[in-house]
Amino acid sequence: MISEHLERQIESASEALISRGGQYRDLPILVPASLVLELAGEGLRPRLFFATAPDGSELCLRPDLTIPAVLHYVDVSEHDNQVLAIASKGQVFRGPRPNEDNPPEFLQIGLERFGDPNIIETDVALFLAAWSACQAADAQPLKTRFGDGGLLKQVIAGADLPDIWRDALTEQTSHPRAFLRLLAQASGTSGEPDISTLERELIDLPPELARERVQAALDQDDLALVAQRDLGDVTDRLIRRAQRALAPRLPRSLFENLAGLATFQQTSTLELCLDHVVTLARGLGVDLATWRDDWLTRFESMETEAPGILAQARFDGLGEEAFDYYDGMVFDIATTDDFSRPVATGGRYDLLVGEVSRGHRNTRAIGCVIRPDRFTPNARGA
Amino acid sequence: MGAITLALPSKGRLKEQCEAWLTTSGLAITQIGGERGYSGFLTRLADVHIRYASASDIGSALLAGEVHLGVTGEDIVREAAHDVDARIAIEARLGFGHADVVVAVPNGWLDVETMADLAEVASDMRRKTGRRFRVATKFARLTNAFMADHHVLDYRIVDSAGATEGAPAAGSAEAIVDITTSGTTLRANALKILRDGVILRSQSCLMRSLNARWDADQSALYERLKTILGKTAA
Repeated sequence: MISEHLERQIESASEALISRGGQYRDLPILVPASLVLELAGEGLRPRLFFATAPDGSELCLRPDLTIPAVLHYVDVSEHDNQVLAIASKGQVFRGPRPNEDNPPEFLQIGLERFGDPNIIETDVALFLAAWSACQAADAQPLKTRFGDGGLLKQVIAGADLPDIWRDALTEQTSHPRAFLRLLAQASGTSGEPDISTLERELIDLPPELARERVQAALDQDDLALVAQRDLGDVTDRLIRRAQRALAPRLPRSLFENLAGLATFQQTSTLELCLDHVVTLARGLGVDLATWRDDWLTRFESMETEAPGILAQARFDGLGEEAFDYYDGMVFDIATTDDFSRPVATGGRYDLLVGEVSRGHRNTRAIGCVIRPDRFTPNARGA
Repeated sequence: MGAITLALPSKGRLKEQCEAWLTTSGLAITQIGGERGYSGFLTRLADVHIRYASASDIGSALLAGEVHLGVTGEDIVREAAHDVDARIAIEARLGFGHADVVVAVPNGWLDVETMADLAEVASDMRRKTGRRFRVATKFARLTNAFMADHHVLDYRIVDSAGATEGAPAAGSAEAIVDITTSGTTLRANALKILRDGVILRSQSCLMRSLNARWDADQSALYERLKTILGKTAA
């Protein structure tokens, strides 16, 4: 049972969001469980509510509005980059984490924009839509935290790093803890890695001979290669492991700059935060001047449309949710300083449509959701 | 005096081992309905009722508070709920029913020795194929927690109710999480355990349900039982 006041807040927020563009759609509540787990990972499994379809396929109640919106886009779009904005409202279902006392279902109001050609303009428009929805609901005081989910990948691509470490670190930019663990290995702070006699032999062999050597090792001990990894996969990785073990460790300054970027969090002004990121990147041989200008353009556009909107905003580098799912601008809007229960979250996910459609459809995309149950601080909510 | 219920495995070697453990302490079971009966009582303590059930049903009954005591594997209860320690107290590890829950991969994966290797291979696979690395198991909860602890993120669980060791060779998974006692079945299926891939070293335990109703008489009866079990249950 929700109060009349909250009902009015929900109505105001919905109207404000939809007025920023978007066709209202009732999105499916049941979605394929395998798709959700493939996209979100097994970490979400304990929080999902599963159901079995009459044909035996496994479904789950939607844990967010984004995946159903993307499925809808894939279903109705006729070509890549078709422009479409979808607004939606409804319950989503996510069981509480252990030791949390949160409801397993709650209301979200969402806006997803697909195919807009101008990234910066769309980023600004979507953020303003989320902000105006929170403001219309009289949630206050509103504070914003920005981040950039594509920042680390961009920096590593241009950084002055040995290829062996650049490739390895690039693969882990979506996983902060794995990234930091690999970085510790790269800089030698996690101790010397093991290297086997076989790996030492392989490093000097041409590819064909290396594979033959690995095959001989398998044959000698009657070992089997199964499960989608072939001789080439295993040989390549053995060589990579050996190369990494023997590669020079990253200098301390590179380690500190990369670790600094991966864990960047500051509460100074937006411009100073951007400057700090630029300085860290410069230490890695990367010029982020254009990146900085793009962010300043976003902030200026936001301030032009809504003066004072960024008075209580900060920039957290990668952003809390930047890993894995988002690959561009991310933001949280909260009524408390710690951002643990944001009233709105959003971000750019340009690769998600391609993942969901298995490459059948590709388009830029960005979305946000509003959490009305959090309009009142300290209300019970997930 | 209020009675208490002790759930024991209903068949096989575990049933024999439980009876042997009780016999060591001078406790015999009177089984109602003979060998095929599913209830009974301790001959010396008739208010300790025996309920025979499968190992997984004993775990569920302990967690729900439907029985006061039970003997089952730690792996079974830890898989069944996340808040086991708030619902069950392990009173004694009984030294039988040993089974390790382990992560195993094809033995031809010479480049994969540790969980860190597994994490990297999983990420490689997702990047190259767009699909997550598959782990066949019936221990989804234990697997999720262990993988998270070792920063393995790009994986999917494939539910496997039986013959899990055959999943990699059958092409339905890349790795498995399963129980093993000697490793013989894993080796027979060309699998190896990762160096740091032991999730849980499990064995049969005497467990007390914290959710069951314990009045003063029942608690006193359990104290008597504990005294009789003596060193065995210490």
